[in-house]
Amino acid sequence: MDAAWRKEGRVGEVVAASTTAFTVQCYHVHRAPPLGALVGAGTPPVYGVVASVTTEPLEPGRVVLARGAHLEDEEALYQENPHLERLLTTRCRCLVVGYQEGEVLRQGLPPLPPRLHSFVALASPQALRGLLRETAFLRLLLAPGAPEADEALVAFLREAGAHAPEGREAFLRRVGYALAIELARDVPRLYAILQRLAP
Amino acid sequence: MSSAPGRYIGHVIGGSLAEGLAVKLDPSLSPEEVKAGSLVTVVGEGHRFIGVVTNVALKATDPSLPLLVDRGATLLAQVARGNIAYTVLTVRPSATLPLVAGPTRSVQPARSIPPHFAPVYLATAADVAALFGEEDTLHFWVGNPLDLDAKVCLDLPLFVMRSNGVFGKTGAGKSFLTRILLAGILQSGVASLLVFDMHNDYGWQARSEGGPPVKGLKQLFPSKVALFTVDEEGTRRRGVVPDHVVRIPCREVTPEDIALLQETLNLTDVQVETVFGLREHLGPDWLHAFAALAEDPEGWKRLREAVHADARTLNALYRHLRALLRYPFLTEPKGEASSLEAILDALMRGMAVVLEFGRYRDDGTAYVLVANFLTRRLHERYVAQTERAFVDRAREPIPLVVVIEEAHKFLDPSVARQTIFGRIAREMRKYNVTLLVVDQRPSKIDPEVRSQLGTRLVCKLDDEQDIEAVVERAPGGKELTTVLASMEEKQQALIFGHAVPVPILVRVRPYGPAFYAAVGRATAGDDLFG
Repeated sequence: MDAAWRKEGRVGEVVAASTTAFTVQCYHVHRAPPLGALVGAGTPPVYGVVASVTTEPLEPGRVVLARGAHLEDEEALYQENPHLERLLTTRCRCLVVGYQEGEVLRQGLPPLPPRLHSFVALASPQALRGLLRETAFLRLLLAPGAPEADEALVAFLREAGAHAPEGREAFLRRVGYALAIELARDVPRLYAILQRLAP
Repeated sequence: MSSAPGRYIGHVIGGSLAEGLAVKLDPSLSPEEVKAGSLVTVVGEGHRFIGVVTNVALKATDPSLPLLVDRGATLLAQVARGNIAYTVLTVRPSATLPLVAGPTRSVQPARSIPPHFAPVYLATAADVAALFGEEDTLHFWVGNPLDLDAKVCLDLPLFVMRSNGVFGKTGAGKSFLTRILLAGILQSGVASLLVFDMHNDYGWQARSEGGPPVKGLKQLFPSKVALFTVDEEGTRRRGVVPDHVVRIPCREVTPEDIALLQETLNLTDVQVETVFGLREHLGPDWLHAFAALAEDPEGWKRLREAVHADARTLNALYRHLRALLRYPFLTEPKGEASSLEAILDALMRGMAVVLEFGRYRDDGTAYVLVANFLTRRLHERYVAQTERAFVDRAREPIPLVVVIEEAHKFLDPSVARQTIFGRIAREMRKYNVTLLVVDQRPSKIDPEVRSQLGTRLVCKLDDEQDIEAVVERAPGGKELTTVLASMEEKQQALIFGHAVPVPILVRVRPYGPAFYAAVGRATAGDDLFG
């Protein structure tokens, strides 16, 4: 992965990690990678897809108060309360889909999770294309089984379609075919996912 | 034989020997591309299995799939088809071949099944040749498999070894198929033929729907076919000179012959019993004597007492039997060789005797009377001769195939036990006489006789009872039903049984100038009977 690009696209650091998922604390409040984005953590990177994004007080006990009753717009609120950037934090939870091993991007779980404080950056287009060559990673994204997890999958595939080497339509057919096999016995779920993917 | 397989169509996913193999169709093929009746090969670990596609079914892994795919869900339909919505073929394995073809044909009946995921291919012309033999004198080309340019040949010696049936509804091509078979048998010389040609279809020429008349056997094999007729006038009127006019000596008609006419003459059981009494009382020429007594009231009365019949029975019987005496062919012999001897003579020389019924074509009584009368006596001769041959094998007669149309008239469950035809079917080839039963209503034939038919060639049938009857007790009968139901109206036949290693649906070989030329070529210079 190109180091300069990573620095530019860096979004935060790993603050909790397991082999199946890691949590990223973002450097800036409200500036998390979007749902479904592919990110790389550490060197060599472990790749994950953003499955949920949360913004909350840094301290669990702190109560967030409404502060903008007298203000014209939200931007003014943040300008008037610069400390908010310090008191709040945005975290995102990423499901692991693959990892770099030498020159090869492998699908599946890494032998070890990324280290804590690993830098996390949006994955490069090459890494995304490398991942899309096969569809085995879909299984990991389907594993949670909850409808909101499927939303992350849908968001990832919509974005990935634009970068797929074979073009969007063929990509959706290929992925759809693989999803159909995974969800052979749960066609309503397959239907819900495909409906969201269709143009 | 080349062992290159045909087109790959899928792999085995389950099934059993009894129910047939389940084969998942390769997603690259549409179910429309594989038809019921197609011949396929399955490559197992030690054998190649040959089977017939007997059913094509659409399946889905999840019952909700069909509910969710609608006109809007095109992506779902696209990704599901061939994947979680798939096609399963039922393939009935019938025969096995070794994986590597040796110098001999070693087709064996399938007694096991290939393992899971064995690949399945459409059969090739080489497979068909390995199964059915290359066309030669004894392997007669009857048709071609659907979608395959190969010849399906019938092993004629095996075929004539047992009684066989040709079935199909009117207009489905039964007579054409039968003519082709008869030409094959005649050309090969494996058997002599006696054809009871009720509708004048086989002798000189026959009608063809919407085309010019087609040649009969006599035109194809002038010196091997003797044309006999029951109605000389009718035959000559059609411009054909018969070789012999059949006459049946009245005094040789027995009460057993009359019993078989019970249905066509509309006789009651009591009337039939009375006939046996008449014969006992009046002697061999009972029919004439009975007719003469009708003019003599005193004699009539005495007769009634002698046979213990009431007046009504005897009068009714007289009315019915008088109809028989009006047949011109029922006469006293006039010094010439009897018809029976003439027929026997021709048959013993390996010829075909085609017996036309001329104007009696729609007269069930004449047909049953003549066919049964002659066959019963011929059978006696064959039995005697075959028994003599136990001592001296050289004297064994050439096998005889008796062809009967409208066979249910003789093989109806109520009469099959009495007619000679029922007996011939049951005793198989013991006495070198077998039947070729041609009928449009197989369900009307006695089930026991039906079960004795070795090879069945079935053209299109519509009636469900007939379809069930024709596959009854055949291995894989239930699956064959599906094939039969999907057949085309004309020129197709499903062949299964003794003489073919696997059931096969064929396009019947065309009967026309090319056929005439082929059988003509094969017989030229081979004319032993001229």
